[in-house]
Amino acid sequence: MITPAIDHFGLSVSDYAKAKAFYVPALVPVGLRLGREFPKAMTGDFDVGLFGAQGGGQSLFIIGGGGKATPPVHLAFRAPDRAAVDAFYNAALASGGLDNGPPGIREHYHANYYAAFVFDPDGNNIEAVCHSAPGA
Amino acid sequence: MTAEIDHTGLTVEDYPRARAFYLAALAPLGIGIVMEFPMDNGTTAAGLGPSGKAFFWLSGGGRASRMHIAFRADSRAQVDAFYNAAIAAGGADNGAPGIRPHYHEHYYAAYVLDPEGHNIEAVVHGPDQPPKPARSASRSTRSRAKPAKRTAARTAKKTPARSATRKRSAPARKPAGRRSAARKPSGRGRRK
Repeated sequence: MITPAIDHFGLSVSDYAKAKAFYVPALVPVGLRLGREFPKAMTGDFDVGLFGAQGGGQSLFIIGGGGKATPPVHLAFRAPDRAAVDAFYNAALASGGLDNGPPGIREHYHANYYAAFVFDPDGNNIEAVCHSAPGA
Repeated sequence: MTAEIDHTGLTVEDYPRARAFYLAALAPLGIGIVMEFPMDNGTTAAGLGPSGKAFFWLSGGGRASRMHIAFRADSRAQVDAFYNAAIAAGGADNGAPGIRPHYHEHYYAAYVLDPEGHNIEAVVHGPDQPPKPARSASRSTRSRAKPAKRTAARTAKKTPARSATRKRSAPARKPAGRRSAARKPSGRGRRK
């Protein structure tokens, strides 16, 4: 029996190129890379990019340049360890993200909730979180 | 490392209506309310998930521009049950249960628009599972195989072109006439 999960998630963005420049480096630490892209000429609507696990596999996160999402969206990616959370935060800030909470424990969620929060170029609240104890 | 979405959320205009819809539609997938609490802005938030782990948050505060969220199912029967429950709970058809071969040969999914127009999907990626031993095996195989074929044929007619567009464009296309609430999501402060 599989645990219920979110299979994939699509986010509408105002500027595809800017979003791509942000998400490609920011998501490397959480194991996602940009796979297929469908240009506007192909979709008829707007540019679309599919992010999947490193080395292929199914799409988990999709961006499409159809306009800014309102109200802003909150989306959290699971990180394998705390170093990945730190790396996500640094990569996101270096590629156009804004700080919304530096890496650290959020005890009010649970004792090992180690997360960092960044606003993407459209102001969406993007998080990386690791639930495991260090060295676990 | 398996890449995963840990959690996400949806801001809704009509919280009680959305709550009722998602409780009904997601029950077949084993997803229910894990916790629910009042928010600072006077609305309510609910964390939905399998027992103990909330990964989908609903909160009042305004209608979001169109989102596409897909939930993973365990079996084709669950996808069917999701679709039927969602339609019965006030969702609108956006693609009946069936194989979408343009994604891959076992991509069995159904699409429903929730009461605020979001494109909600249930999908199972594996080949259909063998029937449970508790039931009469041969009968349930037969009766399940037939509808599945019919469904596939029906969707084949209308989905390859449309559903590819639909899904690929889902992240972005704004429903006509929807206004955007410019308010900040109340979840941000809470999450920080």
